[in-house]
Amino acid sequence: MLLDVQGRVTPDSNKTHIVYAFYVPPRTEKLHIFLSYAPKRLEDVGLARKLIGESLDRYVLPEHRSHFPWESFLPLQNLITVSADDPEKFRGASHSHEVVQEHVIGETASPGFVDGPVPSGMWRVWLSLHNIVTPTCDYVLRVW
Amino acid sequence: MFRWMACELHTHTLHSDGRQTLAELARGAVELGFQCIALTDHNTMAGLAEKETVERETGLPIIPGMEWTTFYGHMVTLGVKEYVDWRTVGPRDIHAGIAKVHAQGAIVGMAHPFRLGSPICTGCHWEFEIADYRDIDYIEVWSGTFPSVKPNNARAFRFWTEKLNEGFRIAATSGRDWHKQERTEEPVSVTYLGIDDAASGDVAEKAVRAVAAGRVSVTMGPLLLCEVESSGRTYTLGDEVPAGDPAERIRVGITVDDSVRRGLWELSEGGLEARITSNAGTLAEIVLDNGRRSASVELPRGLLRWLRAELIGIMRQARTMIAFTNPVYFA
Repeated sequence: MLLDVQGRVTPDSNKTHIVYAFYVPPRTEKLHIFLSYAPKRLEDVGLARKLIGESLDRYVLPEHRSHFPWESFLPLQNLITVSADDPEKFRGASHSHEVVQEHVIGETASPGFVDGPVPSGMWRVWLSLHNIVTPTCDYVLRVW
Repeated sequence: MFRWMACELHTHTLHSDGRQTLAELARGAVELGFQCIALTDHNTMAGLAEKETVERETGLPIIPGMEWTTFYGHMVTLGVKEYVDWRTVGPRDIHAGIAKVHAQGAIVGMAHPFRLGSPICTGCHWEFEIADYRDIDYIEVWSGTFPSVKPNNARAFRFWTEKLNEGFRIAATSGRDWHKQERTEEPVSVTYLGIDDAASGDVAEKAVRAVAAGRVSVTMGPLLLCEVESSGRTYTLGDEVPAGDPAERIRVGITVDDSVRRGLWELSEGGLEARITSNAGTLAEIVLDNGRRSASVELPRGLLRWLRAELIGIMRQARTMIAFTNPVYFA
C-alpha cells in the first residue's frame, strides 16, 4: 500500500482540490487507485429545493424560469473526480460519476488514464471536489 | 472554393463519463451523416490513443480535443496535441490557460455557456472572468439536440450577437455533447466547416483552422450559405470585405442546400424564410416559397461591420431557427 487515507469534507470545500503526494518505488509495474465516497445524493428535499432555487436565481433569466421546474433537478449529487500525475507529467483523469471507483495505471491503463511505464518517484493523486452538496461527505482513497 | 464538411464538435467516450467507445461513437456519427468529429472527453485525452485505428476503420477524421471540465466553466479545446492542465487555473486565470492551448496551434470555445451551474452542474455555466474576448475562438451557441428551441441556447446566441456587435470576431458552433448511442426523435444539429482541400495538413487540422477562421455554418437540416459581392469580388463566411465607400451597393446572396444528409432530417413544407441580420439589425427577410432555395439582395454597404444569414422554418411543429451562418465581416 502506497497511500491509504480517509477524510470528511463539507460544502465549504466545494470547488477545491485535495492533493496527495506519495513515493512510488522502483520496479512498480502497475498502480491501482481506489476511491469511494458517500453519500452521493442529498436526500433532504427541503434543502435541495432551497439550493436549486438559489441556483435558478443565479443562472436563469427571469423570463425563462417557467422552463426550469425545480423538481426536474432532483436529486442533487456530490461529485468527486480523481486524476494522477507521475513525477514528470499528467497521467490521466477519470470523470466517472460512480461512488466506488478503481483505476489502474500501467502499460495498459484503465479508461481515462494514460498507458505507459510507472516511473519511480513522487506521484500525486488529486481529488477534485466538483460538487459537495450534502452536509458532510466521507471519502476513502487508497493507492497500491 | 471550400468543401463544406458536416462535423460534430462535442463528444465523450468511456474515457470520461460517456457510455460509448470511440469506435461506437464514430460509427454512430457516420450513420448520422457526419464527415468529421472532435473527441472532447472531460479532462483527459486518453481516448485519443485509439484515434488512428478508429479513423482507419470508419474513414472518419477525428479532431483531437478535450473539454476543460473546471469549477468555473467548461471550455472545449480543439486541435490540442498535449494535455494542458486545468486544475491550477482559477476563476481569473483563464487567459493563462488559453495561452497554453493557443501555443499548440489549438483553439478554445466556451461550451454551453448558459447551462445551469453549481450545485446542479458545477462549471456548466461559464463564470471565468474574460478580460479580452479576442482570446475566445468560438462559442458553442447551440448545445444538445433540437438546440434552437432551448432557452439557454437562445441566450447564448444573443450573447454571441452582442460580442459581434462589440467588434469581436468569434465563431459560433453547435455541439451535441454526445455521451451515448441512443435514438433521438429530436433534430440533430450539424456544424459545417469550410475545408480548403488544397491547403496543407490533415482534415482535422483544416477543420480547426476553419473554426478559427469563422468558416462555419450551423444547421438542423439544409446547409445555409451566404456570400457578399463587393467591387467585383466575392466573400464567404469568415472573410473580411475590405474598407469601402458606405454608398457602395453590395450584393448578398443566400443558398439553401437541401441535398445534404438527405433522409436524415425533416423540415415541414411552407413557412420557410431567410433573414439577413447584421450589426445594423435585420437587412432583409425573404420568403422561400414554392421550393425556392436561393435569394439575392442588393443593399448599400452603409456602416456594416458584419452580416449573417438565418433560416427560419417549421421543424417538429415548432417554428424556430433552422440554421444560421457565421458572419461575413466588413473592415
